[in-house]
Amino acid sequence: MSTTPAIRLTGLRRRFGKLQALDGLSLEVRQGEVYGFLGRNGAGKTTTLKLLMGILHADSGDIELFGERVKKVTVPLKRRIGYVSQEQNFYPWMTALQLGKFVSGFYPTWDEPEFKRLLALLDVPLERRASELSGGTRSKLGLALAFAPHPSLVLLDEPTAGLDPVARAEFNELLVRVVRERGTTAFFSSHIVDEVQQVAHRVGIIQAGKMRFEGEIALLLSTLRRLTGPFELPQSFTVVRGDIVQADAALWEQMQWPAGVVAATVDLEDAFLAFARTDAVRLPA
Amino acid sequence: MTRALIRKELREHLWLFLALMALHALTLMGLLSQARDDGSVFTALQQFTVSMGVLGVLVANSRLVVREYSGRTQLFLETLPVTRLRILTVKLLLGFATVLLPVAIVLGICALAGQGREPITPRYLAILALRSGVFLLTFHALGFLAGMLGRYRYVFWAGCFYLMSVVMKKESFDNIPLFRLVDQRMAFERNVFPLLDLGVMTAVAILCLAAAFALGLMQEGGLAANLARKMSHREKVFFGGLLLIIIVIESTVDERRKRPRFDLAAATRSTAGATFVGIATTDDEDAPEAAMAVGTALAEDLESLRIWLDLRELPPVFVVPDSSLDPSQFVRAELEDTDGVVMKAGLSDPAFDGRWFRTTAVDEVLAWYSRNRSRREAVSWFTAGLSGWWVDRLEPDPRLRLRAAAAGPVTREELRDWLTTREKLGPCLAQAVEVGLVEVVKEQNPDGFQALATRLLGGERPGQDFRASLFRKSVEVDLDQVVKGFAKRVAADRLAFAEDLAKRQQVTTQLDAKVVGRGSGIELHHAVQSDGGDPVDYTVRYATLKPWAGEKLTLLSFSTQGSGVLPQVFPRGTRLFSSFDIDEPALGCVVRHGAQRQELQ
Repeated sequence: MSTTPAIRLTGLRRRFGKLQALDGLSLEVRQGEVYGFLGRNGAGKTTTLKLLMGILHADSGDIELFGERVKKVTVPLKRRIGYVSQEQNFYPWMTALQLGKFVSGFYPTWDEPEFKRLLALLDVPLERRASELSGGTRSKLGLALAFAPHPSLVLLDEPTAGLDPVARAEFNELLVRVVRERGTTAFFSSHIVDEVQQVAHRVGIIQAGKMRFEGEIALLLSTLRRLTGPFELPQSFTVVRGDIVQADAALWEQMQWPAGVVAATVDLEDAFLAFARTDAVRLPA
Repeated sequence: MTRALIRKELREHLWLFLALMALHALTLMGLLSQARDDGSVFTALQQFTVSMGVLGVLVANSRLVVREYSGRTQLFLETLPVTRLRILTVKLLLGFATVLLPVAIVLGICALAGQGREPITPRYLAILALRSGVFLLTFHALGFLAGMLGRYRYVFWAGCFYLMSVVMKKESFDNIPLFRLVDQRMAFERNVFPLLDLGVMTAVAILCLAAAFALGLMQEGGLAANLARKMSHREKVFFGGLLLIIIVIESTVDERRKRPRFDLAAATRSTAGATFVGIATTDDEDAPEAAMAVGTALAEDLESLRIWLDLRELPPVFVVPDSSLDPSQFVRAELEDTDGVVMKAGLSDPAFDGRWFRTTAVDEVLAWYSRNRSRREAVSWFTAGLSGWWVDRLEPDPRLRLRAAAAGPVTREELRDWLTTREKLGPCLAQAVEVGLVEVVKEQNPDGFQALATRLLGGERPGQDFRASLFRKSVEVDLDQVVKGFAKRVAADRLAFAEDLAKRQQVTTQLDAKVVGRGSGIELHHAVQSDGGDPVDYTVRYATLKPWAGEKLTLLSFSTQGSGVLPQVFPRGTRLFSSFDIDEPALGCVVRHGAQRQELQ
C-alpha cells in the first residue's frame, strides 16, 4: 500500500457570510483506511466534504488528493471519488437501475455487473422508483452508486443520519465489507460516535471548523481518563473538560494517585463529548 | 457526460414534448388553412412562432430548469463528475432546440406549401429564419433567466408584462423590437434583413443569458438553489401587498394624469355661456349654416344641462362633418392622447336629423362626465331618456309619443335588461320609449326630479380609480310605478294616435337558414312581405357574435326589396344577431323588426 496520503488538508479556511465554517482545518487520510470524521452539527464536516468534491471552493489553504495538490477538483479527479451524501437527492422517478444507467454515463470505469452485485448485496429493489424507497434503502443505493465505478476514495457525509439503529448497523457492516474487499479509502463523517468506532481505523474530531484531535482511536483513548476524588493536577496533565483529563499514555501508567482518586478509562463518546465542547487542545504525542 | 444529461432530460420530459408536438401539429394545420386567406402561407410561420414558440419556451424552461432546482435534484448532479457550466449549457441548448426545431420544421413545411404560389428565395427564407430564430432566442433567454430566479419567476414575468404595458402606453405593439421581428409584416418582407432589431434583440438575449449563468454559477450554485426554495408565507404576503399597492398607485396616477383637452384650430365655434361646440371646417371655408345651427343648439343644450345638473366641467365638444356617413349614424372618435368628445356626422346630408344628433351628443357628454357609468344597464334607460328629454323638452316632438305608443308598454324585466330591450326595439322606438319613461318619472316626482337626476349624473365628477367604481349610484325610483305609469300613458296615446298607428304598414319578416356546400356552411335567405302584398324596401342588419360580444354591436347592413340572400356564408354554429330595418313614414323613422340572436344550425 502506498504511503502517499489519499487526502491531505492544510490550513483550510472557508467562510459563509459571517460564519467561519472552516478555520484552518488540517487533516490527513491514509490510503486504504476508513477515516472517521467526527463533529457536532454545524462543526464543518459537510463543508469539508463539499470542498473535497469540488462542490465548494476554499477561501485559503491547501488540498492534496492522491498526492497531488489541487486548486480545483477537476472532472477527471472527481471520477476517482465516490460520494454518498446526507440527503439522497435522486431523481424521484428513476429506479435503481435507471439511476445506475444515468450515473454510468459520467464514469468511464463504471462496472455494471458490480453495481448489480452491490444492489443485490445491499438488498436494494431494482425496479422500484427512488421516491418509493425508504431512507435506509436510499442510503444503500447511494453506496452502490458510489462504489460501482471503482473509486479510489469514497466520501460519506453522514450517510446513516435518520436511519434506525438496525439499518445503520447493516449499512456500516456493508461499508466495512466493501471497503475491505476493494481496499478503497473511505472518509466517513458522522456525529454518531458508536458507528465511527465500529468502522473507522482513525478519527478526526472537528469543532467550530478546527481539528481538535486526529489519530487512532486507541491512542486517543489511552491519553484520556476520567478523574474523580480529591487531587491536585500535576503540570503535565490537562483538563479537557469537566473531569476528563488528558496526558501522555506513559504518564498515566507511571502516576501514583493518592487514595480516594479514581482514574477511570473513557470511551470514544466521552472523548468526543469532551473535545466537541471545549477549546482546550492537547494533541497526544 | 453530455449524452447522459441529454438522455436523462429526454427520458424525463419526453411525454410532455410529444404532447407539445401533437399540439404543434394540430395548431399548424389550423394556421395553414387560415394562411390561404392571409396573402402568404408564411403567415402560418409567423403565427406559429408567436403562439407555439412562446408556449414552447415556457414549457421547456419550466421543465428543464425550474423542475430541476425546485426538486433539488441539481444537488445530486453536482456530486457527479460534471461541471455546473456544462449542466446549465446542456439545459439551455436542449431547451432552445426543442423550441427551435418545430419552428424550423414549420418553415420547411411553409416553404413546400408555398412553392409555385409565391416567390420563395433563399434570401427570403434566411430573413424568416433569422426573424423567428432571434425572437425565440430572446424569449428563451428571458425564460431561462426566469427559471433561474426560482420562486421569483412569477414576479419577474409580472414585472416584464408590467413594463411592456407601460411601454405600450407610449408605443404601439409593433414598435417594440422583439415583437416587430414577428409582426404582421414578417411574412411579407422578402428582401431586407431587419438588422437593427436582430442586433438589439440578440444583445438582449446575451445579457439575459449572462445574468442567468451568473445566477446559476454564483456562490457555487448556492444562489440558484436558494432562489428555488418555495416562497415563505411572509414573501407571499409581501408580493401580494406590493401588487395591490402598484394597482392602487397606477389607478390613482392614471386618474391624476390629466390628458390635454382636445382642440381643433380649424373649427368654427358656437358658444352658449361658458360652453362651446366646435364644427370642424376646411381652411378656406366656414361651416355651413345648417351645421352652425346644430352647433349652436347643442351648445345651448349643454350649457343649460350643465347648470341644471350642476356639472362642474364640460369636455371640449367638436363635430367633424363626414359626408360618407349614413345620416342616421353618428360616430364618436376615440382620442388616445387628448380628452374631449369628438363626433362625426353627415351634417350636410338632407336627411340629417339635428335633434337626434343633439340627443346622441348630450348622451356622449353625460357618458364622458360620468366616466361611462351612465351606460350601466340598470340605469341606461333613464340616462338615455334624460338626454332625449333634455333636447326635446322645449319643443316636444309629438312623434316621440306616437313612436312610444307604437312600441307599446314595457315590463320591469325589460327595464332591468334595457340593453337587450333596446336591441329589440331599435334606436327609433327605443329612444321614444326612453323619453316617455323619463317623462313618467318626472310626472310622478315633479319636485324631486331634478335632484334625482343630479344625484345620479351631476355634482362632482366621479374619480377614475377603482375606489370610485365600488360606490355605484343608482336611480331611486319605484320601477313598478314607472312601468304602470308608462303603460297608462301608452294606452292613452294609442287612442289619441289611433289614426296614425292605423297607417302603419303591417309586415311579416322571414329569415331562413339553408345549408350549403357539404353541410359546413349556412346561407341566410331573407324576405319581408307586407299584408297588402306591396313590395317592401328593407335593410337586413346583422353581426356575428363572438363569445365575448357585449350588447354593443357593429352591424353590417344589406339593403334590398322583397327578398334576397345575405352575401356571406356562415359556418355552422355561428352566433348571429339579425334584424330588419324598415322605413315607416307613419312614424317618421326607420323601425326595427324581427330582431333576434340565434345560433345557426
